[in-house]
Amino acid sequence: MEHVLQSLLEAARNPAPAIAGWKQASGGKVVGWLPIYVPEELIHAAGALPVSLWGGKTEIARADAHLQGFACSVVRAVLEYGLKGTYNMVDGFIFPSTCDHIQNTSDIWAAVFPDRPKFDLVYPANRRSSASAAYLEQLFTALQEWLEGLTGCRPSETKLRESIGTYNRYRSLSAELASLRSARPECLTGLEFALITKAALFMEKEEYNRRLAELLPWLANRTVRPQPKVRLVASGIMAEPEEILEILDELGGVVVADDLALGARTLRAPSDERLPPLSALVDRHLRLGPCSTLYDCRKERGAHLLGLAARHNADGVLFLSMKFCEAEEFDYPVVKAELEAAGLPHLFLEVEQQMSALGQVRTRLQAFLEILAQGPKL
Amino acid sequence: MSEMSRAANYLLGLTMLYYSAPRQADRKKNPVAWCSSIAPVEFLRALDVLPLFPENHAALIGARKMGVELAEAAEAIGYSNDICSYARADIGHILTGKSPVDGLARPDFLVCCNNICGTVVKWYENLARHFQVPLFLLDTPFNHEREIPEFSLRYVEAQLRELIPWLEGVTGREFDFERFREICLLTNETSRLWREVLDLAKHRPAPFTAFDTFNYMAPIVTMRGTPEALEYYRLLLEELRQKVNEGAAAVGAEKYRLLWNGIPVWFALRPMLQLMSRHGANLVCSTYTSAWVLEFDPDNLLGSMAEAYTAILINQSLGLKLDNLEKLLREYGLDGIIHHSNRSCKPYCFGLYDLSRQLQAGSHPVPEMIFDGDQTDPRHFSWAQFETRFQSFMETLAASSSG
Repeated sequence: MEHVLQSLLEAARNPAPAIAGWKQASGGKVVGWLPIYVPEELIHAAGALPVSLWGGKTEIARADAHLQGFACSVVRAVLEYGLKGTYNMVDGFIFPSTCDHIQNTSDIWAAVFPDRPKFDLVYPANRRSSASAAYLEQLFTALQEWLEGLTGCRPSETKLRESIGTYNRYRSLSAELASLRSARPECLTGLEFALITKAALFMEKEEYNRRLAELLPWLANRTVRPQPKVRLVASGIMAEPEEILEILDELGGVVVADDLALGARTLRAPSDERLPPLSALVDRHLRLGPCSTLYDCRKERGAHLLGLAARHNADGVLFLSMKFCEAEEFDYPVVKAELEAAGLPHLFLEVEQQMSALGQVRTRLQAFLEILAQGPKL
Repeated sequence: MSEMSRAANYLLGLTMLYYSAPRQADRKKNPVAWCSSIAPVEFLRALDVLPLFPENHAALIGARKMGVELAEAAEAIGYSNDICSYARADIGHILTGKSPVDGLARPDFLVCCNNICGTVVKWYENLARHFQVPLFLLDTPFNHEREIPEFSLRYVEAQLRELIPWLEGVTGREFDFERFREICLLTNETSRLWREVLDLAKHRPAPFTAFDTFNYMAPIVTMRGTPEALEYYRLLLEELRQKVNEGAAAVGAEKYRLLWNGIPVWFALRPMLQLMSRHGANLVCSTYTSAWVLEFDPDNLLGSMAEAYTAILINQSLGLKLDNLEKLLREYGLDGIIHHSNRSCKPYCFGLYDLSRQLQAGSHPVPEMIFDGDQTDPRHFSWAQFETRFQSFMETLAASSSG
């Protein structure tokens, strides 16, 4: 079973060969999408391979001619990869209206690559209007038409239902993996967990589900490390660069639950399979959250983190703040005050995908974990 | 007293009234709302709500050089130095009570429209949490196309319809549609006069600079839909027309006519004006001030409002932004452009480099300068960089006009 695990880790770290392999074998189209929420089910049903583009650790050189250095590292990396040809195997791109950075990078992308197919998924930021669902339904219909133009395939309702089922299965298997992480954190390193989660971004979900389903019973008996000294909730856009997780693993800190966009936030909320397919996807989007990028006048994230910490018996919260991500940066002071009021310790770490000097991160993590290891559990 | 000072004095009075009326208001008769800068205040005015605009106040904080102090107060409770300096200045003012004008009166509720950025959505979430007051979000989806999609407009219009009962609920007052219509017509008329004011800069030499318009613009932002704002622009227009007739020039020997693309650097207006004047350069227009020219169709108020509030230029595609620049270049007879790469305003400046590239490749290329700055936080601005770039920009302009 070790080889199944290794195949997932490899897919996460080096997705290009697998994507190229899929393309060659199937003759299908590859659709790349930017974070955070895209109804992959529609892409999957149209017979294309959805690939999620969350940037990565690459030196920024070409992108600087198009985008200022105070754009977040995700969009800078996406633009860089686009410019240096990493995405040449991607046939179409979806830019959701997640934030000003992605929204405006979409226009830059159009200026740089006028001939590459692109769809702008401009979500209703107000999900409480009586018109939100109708708007979303129109938006998803437009996305379907665009996908049809790209793939030549207009999926039947049965096919759409199957795709929704596949994705629900993907989410429930991911939830099982997450439960296992909390119940038996000794079965995986933090980095392994993150890479398994990430592998899903590049793989056909039937295949991913098959491997994950194989892996879960094996993991239930696997032991790769001692019982954790400190249990943590991780919150933020993503736990990258992966060196942060390596350091954490080394220091004996274990993330037992997360509120990461590249993680639990996208894996929540199964679609309601009783609804017509498009309505099910609309309904799911309207139920997503809490998330810094989804408007929330009640600011439920702090309460959500406290709930996660209580349910998973966590000693503290690791707030991984993506530099220049306003959504996260505006949430932090509110979350900070709530965690402090509740007496739950947290560590604020500013992260960038391209960061290389992690000495300070190590020092701060070490100090934080030492304090938590001494402190009483909540 | 000169003719000019009549409008200026009127503006001073209006500004004092704008800040003081909410402080003294009986909140049952005149509730106070905080609004994002291009929110549909016409609805609020119809219910005698007094709107206040934190962004406008933050600009004043910047101009009075209180930006660093107040931003630091926000940073001290965990706000990143990377987020919009208007937001940091506003939050700093809430935390410390410091302000150039005794601060903004406490809001009874909040109205946020994301036609200018996604930042305001997060900012207003936090305001709602801090003040424990209701918040209405008017979502105007970003338009990446040439035309705003019909289904977007229907969604925006539906929200405008929902705003009415929401406001009735939070104010306990009944919405009067006739009153609302009158206010919309006042906005139309005021916008028309504001457009006429801006257009006077098409004269050679221009009778004022864009720096002046950063001052003239306050009532169209904060008092739109009131007879007082209309009166101000009537007075202003009269005075400025007089200047045109006299052949008055804002910059002695107007050699170069320039466009400002971005939010002003509020704390450096004077030195910039002086530097430009020394070079015979006049900043005659900006993409910023015309954002508040809002016009509604009296026969289809809500539908046309949905469109007007969605069509704010920074809520639209790079292609439309380019069209607008080229139109201004032609209409105002401009020689060059200064772009503000503003660390605080991502939607205004992400895409600037490609906008400039496309402009150079287009039918009306002119010399351009891009500088790194910030609207309120001088820690993100270097005068030396600005001056150096401006000087080489002037050399380019001199070379291109003699060539």
